[in-house]
Amino acid sequence: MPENDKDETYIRTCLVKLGDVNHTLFLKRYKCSNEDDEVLQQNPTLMVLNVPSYCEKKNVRQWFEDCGKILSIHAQNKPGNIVKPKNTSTYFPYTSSHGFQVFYVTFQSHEALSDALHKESVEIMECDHSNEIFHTGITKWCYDYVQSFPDREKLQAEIDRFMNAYDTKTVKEEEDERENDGIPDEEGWIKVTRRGNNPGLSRTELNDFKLKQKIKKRKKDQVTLHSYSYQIRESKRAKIVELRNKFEEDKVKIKAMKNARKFKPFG
Amino acid sequence: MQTGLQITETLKEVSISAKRQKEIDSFLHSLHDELLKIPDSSNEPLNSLSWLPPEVCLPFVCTPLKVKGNMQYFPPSDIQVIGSYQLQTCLKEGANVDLLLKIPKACMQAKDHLNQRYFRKRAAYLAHVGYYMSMNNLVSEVKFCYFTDDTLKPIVCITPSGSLCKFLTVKIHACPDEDSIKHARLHPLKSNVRKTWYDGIKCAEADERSLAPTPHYNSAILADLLMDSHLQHLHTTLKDCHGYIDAIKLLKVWLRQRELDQGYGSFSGFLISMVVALLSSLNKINKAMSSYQVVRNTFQYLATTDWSLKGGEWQNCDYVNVFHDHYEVVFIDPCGKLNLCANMSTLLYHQVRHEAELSLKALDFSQSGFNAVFMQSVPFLQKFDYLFQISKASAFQNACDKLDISDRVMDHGSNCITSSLPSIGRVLIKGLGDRIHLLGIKPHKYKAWKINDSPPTWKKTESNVTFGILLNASHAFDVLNKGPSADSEEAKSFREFWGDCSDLRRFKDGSICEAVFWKGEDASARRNIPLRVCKHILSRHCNISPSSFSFAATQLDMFLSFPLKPLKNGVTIGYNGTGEERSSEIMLAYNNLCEDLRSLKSLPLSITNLQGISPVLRFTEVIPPSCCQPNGKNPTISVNEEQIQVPVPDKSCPNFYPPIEVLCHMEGSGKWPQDVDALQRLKAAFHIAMADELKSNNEEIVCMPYQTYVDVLKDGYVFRVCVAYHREIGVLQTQKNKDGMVKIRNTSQSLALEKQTVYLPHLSSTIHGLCQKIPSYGLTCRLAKRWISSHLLSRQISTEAIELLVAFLFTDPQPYTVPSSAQSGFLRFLHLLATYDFASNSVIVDVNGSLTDEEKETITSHVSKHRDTLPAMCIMTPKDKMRSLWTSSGPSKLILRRLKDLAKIYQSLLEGKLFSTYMELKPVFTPSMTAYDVLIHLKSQWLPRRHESVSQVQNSMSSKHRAIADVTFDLRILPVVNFDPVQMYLDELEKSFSELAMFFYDSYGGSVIGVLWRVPEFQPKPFKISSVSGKMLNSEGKVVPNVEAIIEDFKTMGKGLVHSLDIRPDKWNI
Repeated sequence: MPENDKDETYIRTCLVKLGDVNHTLFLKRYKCSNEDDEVLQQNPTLMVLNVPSYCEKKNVRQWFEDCGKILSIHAQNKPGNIVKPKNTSTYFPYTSSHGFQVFYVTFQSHEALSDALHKESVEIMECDHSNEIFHTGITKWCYDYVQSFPDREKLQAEIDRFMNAYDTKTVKEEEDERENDGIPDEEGWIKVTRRGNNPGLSRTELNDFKLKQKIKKRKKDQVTLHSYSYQIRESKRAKIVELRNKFEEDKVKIKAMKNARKFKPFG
Repeated sequence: MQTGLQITETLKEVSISAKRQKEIDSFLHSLHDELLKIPDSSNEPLNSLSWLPPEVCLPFVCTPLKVKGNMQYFPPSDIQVIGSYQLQTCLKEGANVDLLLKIPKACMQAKDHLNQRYFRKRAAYLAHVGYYMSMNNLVSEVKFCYFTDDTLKPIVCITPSGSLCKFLTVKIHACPDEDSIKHARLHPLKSNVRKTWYDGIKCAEADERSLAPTPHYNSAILADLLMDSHLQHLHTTLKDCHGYIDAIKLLKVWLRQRELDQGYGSFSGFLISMVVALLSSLNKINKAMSSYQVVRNTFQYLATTDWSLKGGEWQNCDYVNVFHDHYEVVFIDPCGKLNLCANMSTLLYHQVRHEAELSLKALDFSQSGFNAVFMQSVPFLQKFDYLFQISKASAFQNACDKLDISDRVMDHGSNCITSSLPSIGRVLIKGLGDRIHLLGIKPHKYKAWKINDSPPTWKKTESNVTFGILLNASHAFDVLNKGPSADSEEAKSFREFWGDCSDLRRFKDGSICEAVFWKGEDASARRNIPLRVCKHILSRHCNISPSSFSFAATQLDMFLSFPLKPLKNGVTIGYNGTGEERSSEIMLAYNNLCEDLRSLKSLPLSITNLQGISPVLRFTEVIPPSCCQPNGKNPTISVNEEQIQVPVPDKSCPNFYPPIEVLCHMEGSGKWPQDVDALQRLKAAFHIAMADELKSNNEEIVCMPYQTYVDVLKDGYVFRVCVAYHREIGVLQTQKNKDGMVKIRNTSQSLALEKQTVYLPHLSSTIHGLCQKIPSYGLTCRLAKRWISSHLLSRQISTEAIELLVAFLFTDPQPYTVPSSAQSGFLRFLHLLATYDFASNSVIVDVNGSLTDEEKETITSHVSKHRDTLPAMCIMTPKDKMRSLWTSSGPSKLILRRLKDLAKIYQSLLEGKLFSTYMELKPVFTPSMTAYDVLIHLKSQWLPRRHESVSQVQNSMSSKHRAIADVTFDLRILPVVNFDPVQMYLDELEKSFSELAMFFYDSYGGSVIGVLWRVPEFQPKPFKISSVSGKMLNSEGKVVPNVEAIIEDFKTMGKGLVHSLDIRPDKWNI
C-alpha cells in the first residue's frame, strides 16, 4: 500500500474533548530506529503528541481502544526515540519534568494503526464525567502528600540491596585491575592504572594542562632577561604607550557615558 | 576613571551655553530700558499707598498695620546684574538672573531703618515695578516671592516671554545706597523695632523692654545694603580664575543634589561662593589650583571647622562674641559687619558639615566617588531614617508662647516659625542625645504668588518644616535614658528637663540615678522610642501637642506584622510586633537541633559542618513561621511509628508550616562511592540513621526520613536536614571521553548542587553576619521581599537576589550613610530599582570588603565584555565574580523593566504618603491587575497562607490575643509540612505552559494568579514536531496556541483550587 504508507508519515490531527473544550492531538506513525527493541520494530506504533500533563496511560488507551488491540503504551516528555528509563527503583525513580507528554501506542495490527491515524476525533464515553476522570488539583496534591512518605524499612532494604550490588561491582573491578596490572594485552600494551606497584598519573584535563604549562615555562625560562639599555628603554616606551592607551580607553568610556546622559546631574 | 574628564563633562552639562548667554544678555538690555521707563508716583503715606493700583497687592504682611513715613516711587538710580549670572557661576538647571534696582535717595527718609519702614518701602517699590512689568510684553508672567524664603523680603520674579520663558526667571531685588542708613545702627545689639510700636503699648515703663536688640531684623537690612559690596568682593576674587568659578559650579551642584540650598536659612550658592572667597583670602586655596582641588579644600574646610562655636571670618572681628550670642551660626562678611548665616539654623549647618565630611571620604576612598558626590541626588526623605514634620502652623504659635520669646518674634517680623525653630532644635538635640548621629532639617518654603494675591503669611508655607533623624544604631532604641546620680547638682536640671517621666532608679553597679524609662516589649515597640522621646519633649517644652505633628518612621513595619490570631481549627498563628523575637526563638531551636545532631554517635562518618540555609535563619524571612500545633480538623495517620497529619481534599486546607532547611556536611572519606546513584542511596541511608538515633536519644522529637532529607520536629518547628557531601559536585562534573581522558564539565545538575551546597550556605552566613551587625538590614530586606511579592513578582526574582541588592545598599551606601531604619532602606531600595543601570553595569556586593579595586575593575570589564551572555540583572560577589548565580534564572529583561517601572511609580506614591498612617500606605503594597491577560482567582479556603496577605494587615499590632499562646500542645504529631497547593499548581502550570505564558503570584497569601501570554509565541508558525505543546492547527495549516484548550487546562489542573477565571480577550489580539 504505497499510498497509504505515504499517508502514514504525515502528521494528522485529532480532536479530543477534555473538560468542555476540544484539544488537538497530533498523530504520527512512529518509526523506531533503535534496532534492539523488537516489539517496536515489528509492531506498528502511533505517536500521540500534545497530550496534557494530567492524562494518563489509561486515558490514552481508552481513546484508541476501538481501533484494535493495543500491545503497550509508553509516555515520555519529548518526541523522538523512545528512551526507557534504566532504573526501575521504587524509591529513587528516574524523574524528569512533567509537562505536555508524548505517548507511544503500539498496536498489534497495521489496520489498527491506520484506523487510529484516520481518527478525526475521540469520543469519550457519556458515563465518564469528563472532569472526574483526571487525577488533578487538590485531590492529586493531597494524595501526593500522603504518598511522599517512604516506608522506612522498605527504603532501607532497597538501599542495602543496591549498595551491596554496587560494592561487589566495585570490588570486582578493582580485582580485575589488580589482576591485570603489569600484564600486557594481545598487542603488548600495558595498561597503567592508579593502583599497583607503579601507579601512573590519572589522565585528567587538569594534569594534561599542567604538563603543557610546564613545558611552556621551561621554554620561556630559556629566553634571557632585558639587560641592555635599549631593551629597558623599549620597555619604558611600551609602558607609556600602555598608559596612553588607558587614557584613550577612558576617553571612549566617557564618551559612551556622555551619550548615555550620565553627566546630567539633575536628570 | 579620570576624575578630570568627568568634571569637564559635567561642567559642560551644567553651564549655560554661549548662545543662550547672548540671548539672555539681549533680553536683559531691553528689560533694563523698560525698567527705567516706569513712571514716578505721587507721594503718599506708607500706610495707605493709594497710588498702588488695585491690580497689585503690597507683597508684605503688615503686622502691626500702622507705620509712619511717606513713600514715592522714582526710577532706580542704577540697575545692576548681580549674583551668580554676573559671576558666571550660574547653573543651567533652574537658571535665574538677579537684577538689583538701586532705590534712589529721594525715596528714603530719615529713620527708615526703624519699625519695618524700610522693608515696607522696599516692598512698595517692588510692587510698583511688578505692576508695570506685568503690563509689558517682554514679560510673560510676573510673580512675587520671598527672597531666601524670608517673609521680610519679597522680590519680583519675571518669566520672560518668548524662547527664554521655560529656561529663565529674572529676580528683581531692590535696595538703597549703601550709605543711606548708617551701618552702626544695624549692629546686632541695636534695637530697631520698638516694642511700643509693635505691641501698641504707650506707657513709659515699657521703655526698658522696648529696646530689646533686634539682631535678625538688623542683619536683614544690612544684607541688602551690603549686597553690592559683597558682589564686588566676589568679583575681584573670582576674576579670571576658572578654577574657582568651576569649583563654585560644582559645589552648587553638590548643594542642590542634597537639597541644602532650598528654603529658609539654606546654604545658598552665594554662601558657598563666599566660602571659596574666604578660603582664597586665607590662602588655603590659590588661583593655580584646579576646580577639583578647590572643591576638595572647601569640603575639608567645611568638615573641620565649626561655625556654631567659632565663626568663619576674614579678619579678626572685635565683636565676634556678640555675633555668637545672637546667632546660631556665624560667618562674618568681608567687612566684618554682617553675619551671612544669620538665618541659618545649627541643624542645617551641621547637615552641611556632615555631607562635606561624607563627600570628602567618598572622594578619597572610593572609585565611584565622583558619582556619589556630584551625580547622585540625596533627597531628604531618603537621607534620614526617621522623619517628622510639624504640620499645623498653630503649633509654632504655641511654642512661641510656651518658650516666652516674644522679643524674638518681634525681631522676626512676627514670624513664629523662624523665631521658635532654634529653641525647638535645641531641646530636640538635648532630648535625643546619643540616640542620634544627626538631626537634620528641611526648612519651610513659600510659593511664589500672583501680584494681585495677598502675600502668604508664615502660616501658609508651601512645605512644612521637616526634621530628619539619622539614628545612632547602637543607642537609638535604648529603653533607658540614664541621668546623673541622685545627689548631684545636675539631677535637678535633668528632672526639670524630662519632667514626670524621670524616676530614681537603682542600677546594677549600686548607683542610684535619675533615669527615664521607655517601655518597649519587643523590637518593633522599641523602634518607636525615639519618636516617643520627640513627642514628649516637644509637648513638654514647646507645648506642641502630638496631634500637630506627623511622623514618617515606623509605619512600614506594619507590613511585616502578622498579629496573633486564633483560627477555627484551634490553632493560633502569628507573632507579636514584627516577629524578630520569633526569629530568635527559631534560631534557638536551630541551635538545639545542631547540638543534638553533633552529639549523634552511631553515624559512620562525623558531621563537619551544619549550616542553616533558610532565610528565617538569617533573619530575612518576611513572615517567620508560626510554632507548629496539630489542628483538630485534619486526620492523623501513622507512618514509620510516627503520628503525622495529612491533608484531605474535602476538609479545609491545613496551616502552612514551611520547613527550615539545614545543610549537614559529612566528613570526606575514601568509602564514599564515586557514583551518582550510589551517593543518592548512601545519603538516604544517612537520613534514616539520623532519624533513628535522634528518636532514640529523645522521645520528644519527631523524625521523618525521606530519600533526600529528614524532617525533624524540634521545639515546635520543623527542620529539614539534608546531608551533603562536598565531592558530589565533582562526581557530577566528571565525564570520561572516548580515549579515557577525564574531563571536568559543569552540568545543570552539578551547578544546582553547587549553588545549594556551596554558594547558598556562604551567602547565608554572610547575610546572617550583616543582619547581626545592622539590625535594620533584616527589616529592609523583608520589606523589599514583601513589596516585590505583593506585586506578584515573587516567582520572577530569587529571594537571594533581593537580599544581595539590599546588601548592596547597606555595604555601599554612598552618597548616604548606612540606613538605620526600614523606611530609609526601603525607599533607597525602590530608588535603586528605579534608577540603576542594570543593562550596562553589574551590582558588586562586597559585604566584607574583601575585593580590591583591581578585582572590581576586572569584574566590570568582564561584565561589559560578556554582557549578552550574562543575566539581565548581574549581581557579583567575591565568591561569584563571573556568573551572577542568583539572577541566572530571572528576572528577565521584560520583568526587569516592569520592576523598574513599578519601583518608579510606587516610590513616588510612597514618598507622597510617607507622613500618613500605614493604612493609607496600603496601596504601595497593592498590585495593579490591569496588565494581565488572564486572572485565575483562587478559593481562599485552599490558600494556607491567606492570613499573611497584605489585605489582612490589622489596625494595630493587636495585643488582644496575646494570652492564648500559652496553651500547651502535643508536639509529638508532625503537622502537614510545606503544603501550599498554589505553589504546586504554579509548578505544574509552568512545566506545561512556560513557553506560552508567564505566571505571576504573591507568595504571601495572594488570591489571584496573573497570566501573561508570551506574545511572540502567538505568531502562527510552521509545524515543528518539537514545539506543539498546547497548540492547534489554524486554517492555513500553521500551528497557533490553542487558547481555549489552555484555559480549560488551567481549570482542570487546578481542580478544587481555582475559583473562577477572568479572561480578558480584549487585551490580546490573536
